[in-house]
Amino acid sequence: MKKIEMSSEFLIILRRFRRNRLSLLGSIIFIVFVFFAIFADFISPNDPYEMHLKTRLSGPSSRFPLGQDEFGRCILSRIIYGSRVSLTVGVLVVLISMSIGLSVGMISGYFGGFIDTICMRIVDALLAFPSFLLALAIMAVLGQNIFNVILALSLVGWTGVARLVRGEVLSIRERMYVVGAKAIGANDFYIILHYILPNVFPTVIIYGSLMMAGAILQEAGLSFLGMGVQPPVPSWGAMLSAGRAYLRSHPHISTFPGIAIFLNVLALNLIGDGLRDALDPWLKR
Amino acid sequence: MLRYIVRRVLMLVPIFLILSFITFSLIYIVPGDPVIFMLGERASQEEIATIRAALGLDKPIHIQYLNFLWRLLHGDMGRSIFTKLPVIPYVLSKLPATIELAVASLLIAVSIGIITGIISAIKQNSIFDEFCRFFSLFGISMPNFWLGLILIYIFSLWLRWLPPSGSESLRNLILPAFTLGVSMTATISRLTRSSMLEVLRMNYIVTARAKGLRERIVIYKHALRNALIPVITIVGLQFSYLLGGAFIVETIFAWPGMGRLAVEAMRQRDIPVVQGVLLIGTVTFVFVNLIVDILYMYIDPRVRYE
Repeated sequence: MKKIEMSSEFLIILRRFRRNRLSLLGSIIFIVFVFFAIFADFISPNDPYEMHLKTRLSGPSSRFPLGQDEFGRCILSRIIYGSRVSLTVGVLVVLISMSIGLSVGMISGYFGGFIDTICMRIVDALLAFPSFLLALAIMAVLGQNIFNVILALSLVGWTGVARLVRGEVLSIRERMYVVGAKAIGANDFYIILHYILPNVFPTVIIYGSLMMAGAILQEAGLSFLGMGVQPPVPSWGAMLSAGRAYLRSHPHISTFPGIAIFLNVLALNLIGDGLRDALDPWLKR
Repeated sequence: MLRYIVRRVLMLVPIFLILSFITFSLIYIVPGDPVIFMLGERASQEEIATIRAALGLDKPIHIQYLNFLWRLLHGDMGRSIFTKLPVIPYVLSKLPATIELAVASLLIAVSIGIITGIISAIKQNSIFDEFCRFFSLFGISMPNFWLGLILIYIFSLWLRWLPPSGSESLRNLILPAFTLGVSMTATISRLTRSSMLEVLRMNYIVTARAKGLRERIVIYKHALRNALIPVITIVGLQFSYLLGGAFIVETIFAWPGMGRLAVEAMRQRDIPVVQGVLLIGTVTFVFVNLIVDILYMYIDPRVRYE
C-alpha cells in the first residue's frame, strides 16, 4: 500500500519536472557531461596528455576539433577528461557535505538543548568564514591535489546543510505524526530515520543540486588560481588560467574550457530550479 | 534598541575565539614540519631555528595558542616570512583596495538587481521579465574568472576602451567591479522579483489599492519596503561571496588588494600572511553582517521585539 503511494507521488513530481522545458534541457546537458566523464577513454579523440609542440596553439582542425593548447595538446580531449575532475569533485563534495550536514542538522534539531547549542556554535563560527577564503587557506597549507580540494570544499560546505536541515527539523518534530509516533513508543532513532529524514529530503535534494554547481565553480576557481588540481591533470579552471597568457593571440584556448564550466554549472542550476518547482507543494505541505 | 546591539556584539566574543583558534590551527594541518614547508628543503639549520623561535613553535601547543591570542589582542600576528613586514599592518594596507572593489560591485549589484527585480515583478511574464530571468540564470552560472577574461578581450584588447589592469584611475575600477558584481546582480534581481511577487499578493496591498492610492505609492511605499527584507539578508551573506570572488578578480585585473596579496602569499607558503588575510577577511565579513543586522532593525521593527 505504502509503496504504491510513494511511487505515484514520485511520478507526479517527475511529470511536473518534465513539463519544465528548461530543466529538461539542464538534465540533458548534465547527462552529456556525466557520459563524458564515464566514457572519456572511448570518446576523446586524442590522448589528453600527448604534446605536439610543432603545432602548438593551432586553432580547430579535423584532427583537433577544438584546437590545441600551449603544449599542442588536444583541447577537446582535455575538456572531456576535465569533466571527470569536475564531476568527481562536485559529486563527492555534495555527498560528504550532505552526510555530515544531515547527521549534525538532524541530531541538533531533534534533540535540541546542550547538543544543539554546541553544534550550532561550531556551525556559526565556520559560517563566519567567507567559504572560498577558508578553502583557499586550507589548500595553501594542505598542498594542492584533487583529494585536498574535495576535503577543503567539504569542510566549508557541510555547515550550510547542517543549518538548513536543523531549521527544517525544528518545525517537523512538532508535527502531529511525529508526536503520534512518540506516543506509540517509537524510539528516537526510528523516528529520525522514518519520519524526519523523508521530510527533510526534498529540501536537501534541491540544495544538493545547487551545491554541486557551487562546488564545481569553486574547484575551477581554486585551479584557476593554481591552488587546486595541479597540471598536467586536465582541470577546466587550470586550462582557462593557462589560456590567459594567449588571450590576445589565441583566445580559443580559454574560450572552450570557459564554455564547459558555464554549461555544466548552468545545467545544475536549471535542474535545481526545476526540482524546486516540482517539489514545492510537498515542501509547503 | 541599544540592548539588542550590545547583545549582538557580545555574541561575537565566542565566535572570535573559535575564529582565532581555527586561524591558529592552520599551521598545524601542514603535512610535515611547518618551518621546512615554508622555507623549503634547502634552508640552513640556523634559518630553521630562527623561524621556529619567531613563530614560537618550540613551546607546548596550549602556551602557543595563548601567546597567539595575547599577541593578537595587541594587534600582532608576527611577520611575513619573506618580506619580513609585520603581518597586520601589511594586510590592512591592502584592505582599502579590496573594500573599494567590493563596494563598487555591491553598488552595481544592488542598484541594477533591485530595479530589474521590481520591474520584472510588476510586469510579470513580459518580454522584459523573460529577458531578466534569462540574464539572471546566465549571471549565476557564469564563472567570474571567465567573464573577466571575456570583458578584457572585448573592452581592452578589441575596443580599447578600458584598461585591462592596474588601479590608477576610476576607469580601472569599471571592469573588475562589473566582473565581480554580475553574479550578485543576478541573485538580487531573482530574489527581489520573487519576494515582490509574494508581497504583491498580500491583503494589505489589495487594501492600499482599494482605498485609492496611486499605484506608485502602493509599490514603493507598501510593497517594496516589505519585499526588501529578505534581499538585505542576502546582500549581507553575499558579501562573503564578494570577498572570495575578489581573490580571483584581483588576480585577473592585477588589482592591488588583499586577494592578490593572499594568492601570492599562498604560492610562497607564507603562512603568517595567509593567517592574517584569513582572520582580517573574516573579521570584515563578520562586521558587515553585524551592520546588516542593525540595518534590519530600522527596516523591520518586528526584529526589535523578538
